[in-house]
Amino acid sequence: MNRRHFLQASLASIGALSTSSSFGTQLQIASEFSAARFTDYKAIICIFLYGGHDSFNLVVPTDSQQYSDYAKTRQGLAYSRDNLLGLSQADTMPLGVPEHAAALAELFNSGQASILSNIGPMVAPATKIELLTNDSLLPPQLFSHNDQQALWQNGAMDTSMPSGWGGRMADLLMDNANSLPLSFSSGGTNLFQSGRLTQHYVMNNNGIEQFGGLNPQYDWNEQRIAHHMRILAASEDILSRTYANKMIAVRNNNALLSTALANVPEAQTNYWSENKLASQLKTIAKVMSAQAALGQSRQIFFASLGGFDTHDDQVTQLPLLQKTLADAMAGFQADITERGLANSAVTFTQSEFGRTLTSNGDGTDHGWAGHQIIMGNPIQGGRIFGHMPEQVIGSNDDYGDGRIIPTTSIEQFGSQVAQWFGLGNSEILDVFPRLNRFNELDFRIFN
Amino acid sequence: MHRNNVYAAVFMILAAVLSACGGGADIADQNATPAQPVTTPISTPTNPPNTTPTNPVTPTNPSLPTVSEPTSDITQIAAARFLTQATFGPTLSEIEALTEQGFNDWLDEQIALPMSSHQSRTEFIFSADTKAKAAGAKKPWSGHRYSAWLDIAYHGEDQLRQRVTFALSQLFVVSDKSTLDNEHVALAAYYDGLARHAFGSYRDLLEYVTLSPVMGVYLNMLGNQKPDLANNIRPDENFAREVMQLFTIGLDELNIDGTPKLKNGRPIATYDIADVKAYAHVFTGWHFAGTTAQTWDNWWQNRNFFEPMEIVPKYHANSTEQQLLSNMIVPAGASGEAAMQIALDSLFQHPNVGPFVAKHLIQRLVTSNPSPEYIARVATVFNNNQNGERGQLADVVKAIMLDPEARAESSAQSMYFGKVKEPLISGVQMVRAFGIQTQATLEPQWPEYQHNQAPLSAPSVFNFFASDFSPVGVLSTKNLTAPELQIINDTFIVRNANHAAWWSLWAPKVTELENMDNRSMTIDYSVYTPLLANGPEAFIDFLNLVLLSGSMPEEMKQTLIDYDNATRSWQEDIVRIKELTFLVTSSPQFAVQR
Repeated sequence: MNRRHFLQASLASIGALSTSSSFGTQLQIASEFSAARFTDYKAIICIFLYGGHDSFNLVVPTDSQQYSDYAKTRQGLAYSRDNLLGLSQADTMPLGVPEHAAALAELFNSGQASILSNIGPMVAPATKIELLTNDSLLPPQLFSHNDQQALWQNGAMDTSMPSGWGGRMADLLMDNANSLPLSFSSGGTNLFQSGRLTQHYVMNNNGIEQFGGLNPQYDWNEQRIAHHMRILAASEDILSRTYANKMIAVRNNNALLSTALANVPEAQTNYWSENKLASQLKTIAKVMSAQAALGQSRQIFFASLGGFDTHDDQVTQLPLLQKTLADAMAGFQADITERGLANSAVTFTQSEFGRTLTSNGDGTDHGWAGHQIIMGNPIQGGRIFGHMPEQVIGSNDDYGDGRIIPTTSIEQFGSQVAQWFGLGNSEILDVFPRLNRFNELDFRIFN
Repeated sequence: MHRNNVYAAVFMILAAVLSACGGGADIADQNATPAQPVTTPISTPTNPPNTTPTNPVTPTNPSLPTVSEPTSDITQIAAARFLTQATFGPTLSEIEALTEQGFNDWLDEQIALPMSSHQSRTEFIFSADTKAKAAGAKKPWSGHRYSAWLDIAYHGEDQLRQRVTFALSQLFVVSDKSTLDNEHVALAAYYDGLARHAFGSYRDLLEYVTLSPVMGVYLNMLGNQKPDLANNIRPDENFAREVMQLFTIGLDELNIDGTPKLKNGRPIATYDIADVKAYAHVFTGWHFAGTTAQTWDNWWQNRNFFEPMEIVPKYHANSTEQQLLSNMIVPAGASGEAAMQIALDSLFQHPNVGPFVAKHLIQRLVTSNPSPEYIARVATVFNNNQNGERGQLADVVKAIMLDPEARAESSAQSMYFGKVKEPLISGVQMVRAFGIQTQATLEPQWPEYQHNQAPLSAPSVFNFFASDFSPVGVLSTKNLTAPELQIINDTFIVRNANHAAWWSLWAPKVTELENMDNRSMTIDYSVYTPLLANGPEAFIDFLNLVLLSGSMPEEMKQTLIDYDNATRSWQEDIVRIKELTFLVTSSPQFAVQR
């Protein structure tokens, strides 16, 4: 029987897991599948590129006819052919990346990174004709930033789903809701790591913020802290109780993390300074180093980079962004390799959409499918995974105005990640409730 | 307990102390050391308000709720609650004055006050900053603009207008996290533009924002050009999409009470991609004032962030008619200006605007989860202010502030009423409550470090936080939103507490200030020490009134008394004052307003 049917059968035996009334069932299941069940360590790092990354202008055809189509389509926004560094792969047409993303070419050609091609939110597999004639096959609020960010981060094809697929994984792997979260963010509060039961710990790039005046390390704060805690307990309404509980959780988590991080060495790798993404990944690498001290066999991380909404001045803005991304990812991979963690970690980008192949003169508009980068020793490196569309207007891949129709869905991709991470089949269906709309991918991302 | 008598006693002591020091609100001016005269004018009116003062409206439509007439029965607690919603934080003297004046008169007076200018303040602070000039600065930095904003929040007389403008700046979002990152005078001028229209017509406000070159750069309408198929160029859709999604009607059709209309159990989209394209075509041909067809591509030649954008007909798309919302059509051949007016009218007339704007303003001022009935009452005023006028913001603001749901006493409120304060606002409140002492020059400031917020500095056009953010736990289970909690995360819940410490525990005496490099402002807590004459209760009552609007739980009050009892034997009085202040300003109770 094919895998889809098998997964459906498992789902039937568990019952619907996506309503809040089944929390009890979930907790029961969670306790059987807590992180204590793993003897190895694995980490997932999600880098979200806010604004919608023109990734069709990151991975570019180099063969003469296809390059010429690309240049004709993209006009003033096309990179010059001399400027492209080749990606050595046999999966699809010859491809390259622009010079400023040299660090990415290096990662790809050394087998440490691959490209997830033409991926985006999909209601179901559908042809261009079907999509043009049946609106219900379109993701809701396509082309709207916050809605598409939600669809990427929640992986549930529902713009109002308040939990993300990272958070739902954490819900299944946590030991209990009050312990230190296994999800850490250097990129701010986000939906990806929001669970139905668990929260994520939001760090700044200097690591752990210390209370002044309420710092338990200093004896002279003791009375003050004691009375502050009494005041927290005196919170009467729902909002101040929520705030008080947050203060208590932060106090506990800060203490745990500070102790664990105290023994973690600084990076030996030279990260680029003035690189906003690099400083986030550097902090993440340190927390990864502390995983044993924290007793966490699974960790989920989130970093983010904004500015990709290149409606204007794309020729200047996009190269800077792509360089920042490539350099930061390369630095991070070198850092975790040096720390002995490279076999345990997978890093991937997400972005709310790719962009239009057409321009508005000096920039691009909101598109649909895009390419994402995936990096790490556990994956098959140097691969182009999935269908690579040609960069022409009006093709079968073009929904209109150069907005490309995805051929890989977030569920299909995410389920392979979840499987690598150690979740069972029924758990994967809980994380991705619509997975059974799609066939299994015909490529394996992981070794 | 004789609450009113205690408050009267507190007030009398404070009044005596403060008048000895020379005054009420102008502590900054009066108490600076003579060697460094303080030159901080309270507000610099440059633009008189557009609206003429309105008389309180007597409702003739029987379906509107009656507004309670102002009387001297307004308690200090009620006044404090009101000022917490309508200003950047109550002070004792303002609470007292409001109990005399009444809500209606206070609102009318505030609406008529001249407005403080952020542009003037920003330029003034920069001109006095010798260090910045020495470092080669040619024009104000972000820190100068933020400092101007804080100064106006701390000292401005037109508190209501400024508070409403801050709310409007989170609706018509522009941000310096963009190519505007070095245009702080322009951003301050944009903010003044919002303030100028804050009590006028929403239609005028929408037009101001749409034709603002600051917004034009931020959302790419500036320089947007008609299609050029040979070059695969089509009009940019950014402004067209966001003006609908974020500034006027939102994504789904709404009932007047803010709930979504449903068709077969599903929400109904207000617009689709064809609509976005139609508006995108209308929004072509606009550029900096003075731009011509010849200078269209040389954007720097006409660079002018201070006058409305102008049309360059050659780049305006009008070869075909455009069908817009509200059954309005832009005929083929229409001028860019005419097309723009039709487009703005089509958005302004949409029935969504009333509930959309009402809900936003209520969430920023009063409560995160207003009842549908509250939204409906306010949206009704938006639709028709009793003079037959649509979109009159002064009336909308009054309706919000005077509504029974806003004015009911805490104990009469639903358990779901209230909001987490925006961290930038609670940060201002805890200073405003006590009065501020400053050195001669106002230094640049960066409130984002402490609060994860700074004016016109949101991470994106989607503002600092989502209006429907609901953290995991009790709130999400009950479907309650608490948008501000999205930015008060593990890092910032600590930093906000440290901000409280900075302004209390670590606040230097005024005389020490001139020797400090790392700060130029403090609070003179010594004026409050007389309140400790008979124990901590009088000062705690003062904190309860100005900081918590009288909502301090008994157990919290007892804790503060116990703390003072346990520590007073070795602490100077001024330290006792600071310690009690810190425990309140770092508390969850202060972080929340009800």
